[in-house]
Amino acid sequence: MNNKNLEDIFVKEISDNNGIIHKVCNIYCNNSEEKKDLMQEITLQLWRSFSGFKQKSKFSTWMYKIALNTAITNIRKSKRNPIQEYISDKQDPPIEKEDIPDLDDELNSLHKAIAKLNEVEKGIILLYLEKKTYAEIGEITGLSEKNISVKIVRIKLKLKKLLT
Amino acid sequence: MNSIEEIWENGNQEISEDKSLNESFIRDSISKTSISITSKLPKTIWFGVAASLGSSLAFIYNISFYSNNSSILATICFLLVLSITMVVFMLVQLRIIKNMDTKEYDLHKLLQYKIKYFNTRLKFTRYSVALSIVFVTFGINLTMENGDGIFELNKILLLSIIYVFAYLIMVYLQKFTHDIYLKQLRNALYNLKEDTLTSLDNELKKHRRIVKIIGIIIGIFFIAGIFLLLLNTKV
Repeated sequence: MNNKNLEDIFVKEISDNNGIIHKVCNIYCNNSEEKKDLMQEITLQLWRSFSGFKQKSKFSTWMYKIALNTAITNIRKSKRNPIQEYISDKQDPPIEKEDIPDLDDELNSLHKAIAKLNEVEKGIILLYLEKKTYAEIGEITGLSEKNISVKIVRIKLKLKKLLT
Repeated sequence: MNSIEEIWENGNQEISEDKSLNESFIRDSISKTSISITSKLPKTIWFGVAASLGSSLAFIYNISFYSNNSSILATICFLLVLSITMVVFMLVQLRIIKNMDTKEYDLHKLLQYKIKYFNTRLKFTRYSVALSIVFVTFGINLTMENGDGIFELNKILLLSIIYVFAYLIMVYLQKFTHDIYLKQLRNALYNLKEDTLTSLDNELKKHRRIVKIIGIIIGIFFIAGIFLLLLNTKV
């Protein structure tokens, strides 16, 4: 298969599944500029990995894996989006997330609450809300199903607290 | 109030209507340069490769000039071998870095892989880049200061101190940049699986001990080399 054909297939596949990239970027970015940068970077990394996609997993699972890996391990967090410290007394004050235009208040509040989670929790809750099975979340994160279920319960409790 | 699952489900429709990620955006994105951290690493390493190649050429050029001076000749040959080894090592690292982001690892495996890489091979790459700058400067000095096979630089000790400082500054400048990113990776691994970070740290501790021993051996060679040069320097 030549490069042009591969590119056409890639463009079609990504266009059909572009919601995944949108959702990952909405979760990890605080403003539209950051979102555009991350969208470009995820698309680029997906393209670079595309020829190696072995179809062992679903295309959407593969996309989530690359997208989350890119958002969590590839992009240096700017001052506007600081690193969440794991030592609680060194924790930075949470950054207020810009409203996402066209989304209703309830959804914007949920996005703001998710923005206060750490990078890993954001990824796990996104996969859970996107109705990924525990096996798929495990495939993406490398965690055991038991570990995932514990984490999801904790994250949901955190979110409920943040939303009330 | 709706549950978070319901709120999310209701919002999905609105997100799917977002048309900003269209065909032209995708085609444009894949032709752009990456903004990832790992994509920035090769620039410094290529600089190190160029400097190492430069120093290798300078050392090869000087072999004929110092053929009658066995101690300087031995130093040049040692540095030449080291420079060539560094070129090969840095080229291998460039290849590894190029493929780093396309690995189909899960997040847990990728975080471990990157943290380990930044603490081990990238650390050596940092030392190699800094050393390559020192070597190329030394190679130029050696070429300019030779007089019938005698190293004519009479301030070799002062120059050595400057070299050491320059080397340390370069190593720490790179370390500072890499450490910010490394902290981000460590935080993510801690949040994902705390116990993995602890066991990884123990593994890296062992590695640091080995590096220290190698560092001491190189240090001894360096000091011995300075003495040899001092003995063979025209005062």
